[in-house]
Amino acid sequence: MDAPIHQFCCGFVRSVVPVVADEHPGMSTPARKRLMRDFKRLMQDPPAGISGAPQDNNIMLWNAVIFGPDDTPWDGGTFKLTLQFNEEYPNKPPTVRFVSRMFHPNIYADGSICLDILQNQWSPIYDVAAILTSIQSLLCDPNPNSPANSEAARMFSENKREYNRKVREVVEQSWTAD
Amino acid sequence: MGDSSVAGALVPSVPKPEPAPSGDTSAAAAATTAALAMPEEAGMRAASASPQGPAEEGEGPADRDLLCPICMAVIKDAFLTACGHSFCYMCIVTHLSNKSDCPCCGHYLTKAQLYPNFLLDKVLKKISAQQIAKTASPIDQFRCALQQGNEMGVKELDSLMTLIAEKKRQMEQQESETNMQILLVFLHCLRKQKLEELNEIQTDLQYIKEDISSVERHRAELYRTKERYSMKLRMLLDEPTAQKMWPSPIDKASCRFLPNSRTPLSGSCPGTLQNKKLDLKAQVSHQGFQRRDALTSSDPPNSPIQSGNVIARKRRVQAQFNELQEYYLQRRRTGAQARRQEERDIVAMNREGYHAGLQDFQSVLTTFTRYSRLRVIAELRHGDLFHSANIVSSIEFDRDDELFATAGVSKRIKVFEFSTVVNEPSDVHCPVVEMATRSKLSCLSWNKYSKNIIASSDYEGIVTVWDVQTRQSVMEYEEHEKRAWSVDFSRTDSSMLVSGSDDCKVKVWCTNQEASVINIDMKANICSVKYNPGSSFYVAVGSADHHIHYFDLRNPSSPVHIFGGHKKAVSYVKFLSNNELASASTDSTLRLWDVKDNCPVRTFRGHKNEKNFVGLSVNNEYIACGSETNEVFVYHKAISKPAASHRFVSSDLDDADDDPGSYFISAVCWKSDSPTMLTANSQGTIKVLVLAP
Repeated sequence: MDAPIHQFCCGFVRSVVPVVADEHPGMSTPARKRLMRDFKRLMQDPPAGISGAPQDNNIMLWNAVIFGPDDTPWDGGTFKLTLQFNEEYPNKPPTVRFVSRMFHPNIYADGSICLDILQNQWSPIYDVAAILTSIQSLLCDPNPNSPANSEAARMFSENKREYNRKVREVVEQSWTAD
Repeated sequence: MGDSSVAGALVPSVPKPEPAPSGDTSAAAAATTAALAMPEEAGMRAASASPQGPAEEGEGPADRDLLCPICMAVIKDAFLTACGHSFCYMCIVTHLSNKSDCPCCGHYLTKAQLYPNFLLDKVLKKISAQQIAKTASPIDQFRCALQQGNEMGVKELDSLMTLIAEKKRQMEQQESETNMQILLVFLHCLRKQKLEELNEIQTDLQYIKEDISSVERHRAELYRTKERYSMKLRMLLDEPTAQKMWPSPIDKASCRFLPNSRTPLSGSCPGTLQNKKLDLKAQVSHQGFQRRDALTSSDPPNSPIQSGNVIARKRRVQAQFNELQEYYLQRRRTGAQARRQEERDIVAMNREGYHAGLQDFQSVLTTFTRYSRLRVIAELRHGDLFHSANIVSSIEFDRDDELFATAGVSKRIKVFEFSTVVNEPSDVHCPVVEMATRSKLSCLSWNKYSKNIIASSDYEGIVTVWDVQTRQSVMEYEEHEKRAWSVDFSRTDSSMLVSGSDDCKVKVWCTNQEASVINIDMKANICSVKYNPGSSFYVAVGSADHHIHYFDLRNPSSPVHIFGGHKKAVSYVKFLSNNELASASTDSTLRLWDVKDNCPVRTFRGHKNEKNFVGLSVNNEYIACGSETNEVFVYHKAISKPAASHRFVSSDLDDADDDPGSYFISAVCWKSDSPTMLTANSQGTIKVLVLAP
């Protein structure tokens, strides 16, 4: 009695798997639709000093570049980032990290960013352009009260000259693609 | 009281006043009750929103004020927050399940503080409709207007229908005119084409008519000559003293002239016919014959023979009629053009009574119909019984056609005396000279001046010059890095020879020097090389790149011309004359090229050659090649189909062990200016063949 049922179950299980594989799960979820609109808007009306686009065949993973603002120690830098989205976007923020090496009070050694709008202050009205623009602003306006890089935070408040020198150092390093 | 006043102000402008006050009242009474009421409203909105789906998917409006701040698409089921911001219902509800604030201003917000915004929904619907109207075609708008039953009088409809009917009539007329125009253009082109064809045919008929007149005049002259001769003979007959001698002269005279009246198309020089009759007199046979010329006292036994011969030649003409027709018209048209260009030739042609084209065609017709098969006159079998691999790669007559040499995978050069092979019926003919070689040989070339000198190319890439009298090598050239396929002595400069190799190089050597005097680096394997017989500067190179590269060795950096057309490697190149080049290829075709005008002349098909070197040999009129069907094929250079063929038959017991279908002809060589040739196959069998009627 058990054997035939078991075989039937196995057969049933096998027949289901290909169907699942043939489907395209999440091809038109709200998150993906929203990301397509973000990309379209970014192409049509790009803010100054930033650029970004999805990686090949993966709308949920983006590459981006932030250019250091003019007339600041960050001037001339081309800082590369990745943005990893999930299906909860835009109700949850993406995971954003610098790929380029940075020296900033609010940027961790692994490239993670301590920024309120990417955490508790996130709002679903923020799009990719807004995120990148906020990070660009953060470069020149660090928040010393939330140190992610203690050395940079201390140097920023105690030895501005040395801090600026270190910043220009990472600017030059950002020119070489890693 | 203030709240009641605000609610009262909203009610009059909304077409559905009942549900809203009810909801508000419930909300005022209890927050939980209001929360339950909202989903019901959302459900109603969702149903009504379905018509707008297509427009919203397209995201038509560019105005961002109409977009939901969360999903950034046109707001669906607009809901207003207590702080005054509008969102899609689903978007804001999803957000509030995570956080209790307004996404836009951060103000504290709960689901209980969301209110449907019916006015905004209406406005958005209208805007979507307007967007559709803008992008819709006038026809769609017109159709909508009609379907929606707009106020439209009968008179207006009549005027519209009149306009539509007129428009329809105009369009139909325009289309009809266009179709007529197209048909007219086609008919004009067709007429022009047919007129051109008609002119061509009429011109051809004119040529044919002129040629018929020329040939008939020629025949009449021959007839008158014959008449005068007959009268002379008749007068001599009257003398009784000479009566014993007279029968023979009469027979000869009759035989000599009779065929001319029967074969106008195959007119040939009297000498040739005379020779044929002398040969045929030996064969006596009786055959039904109808006497047509009352004036001729012909000898009955001889006439049927002539008739049979004529019939055979006519059958040959009929078999290849299309090819002969094509060649005739080609020559006549070319001849006509040449005539217009050169007035001096007119005098020459008028004197002979023929146009150059007709003369040329007559020559071709004569030589083409003369032969129809190949006959074996001698055969050498398994001269080397101890070697299993017997492919004869090369077989070549010497300068005077007295000796011929063979070479191949047996690693031996054997030189035979031609007359001995043909005249002595020995089962095994011994070579007069035999030389052992270190490697398998691919090609032989006799020196055109020094009778004892012959060159060979081998599988190691070595080109060797031999003295067949001393049986020693005179010079060995070792520069080729791979197998050398071909070698050729120049006819005009007997100290020069050229070779081609798998190393993609063509090298020119001098018998006085050890190093090559010229090196040409090609990009593909070289299969064949051949000097132009009239110049020591021009060399034709057949390559695996499907092309023939024609070089002037005074400027070897690039060929003067590249002949393209073969679809596979060019295995052989041979010169019929200073201006005519023949090539063989593993695409199963031979091609004839004009190296003076650098153009293709003809392609020959009928044999099969897909991978092996099967041999190629040319004389003034005929091209011979082997086939992978173990047959020799002969083409007339003016006709694309074979004129004759001969199949090697494997009948020995030894052959039974092998696959009969795997044999192929591997080498051929004409005896100069004669219908005789040497042939050899992959078994090592050598046959002497002769073209026969």
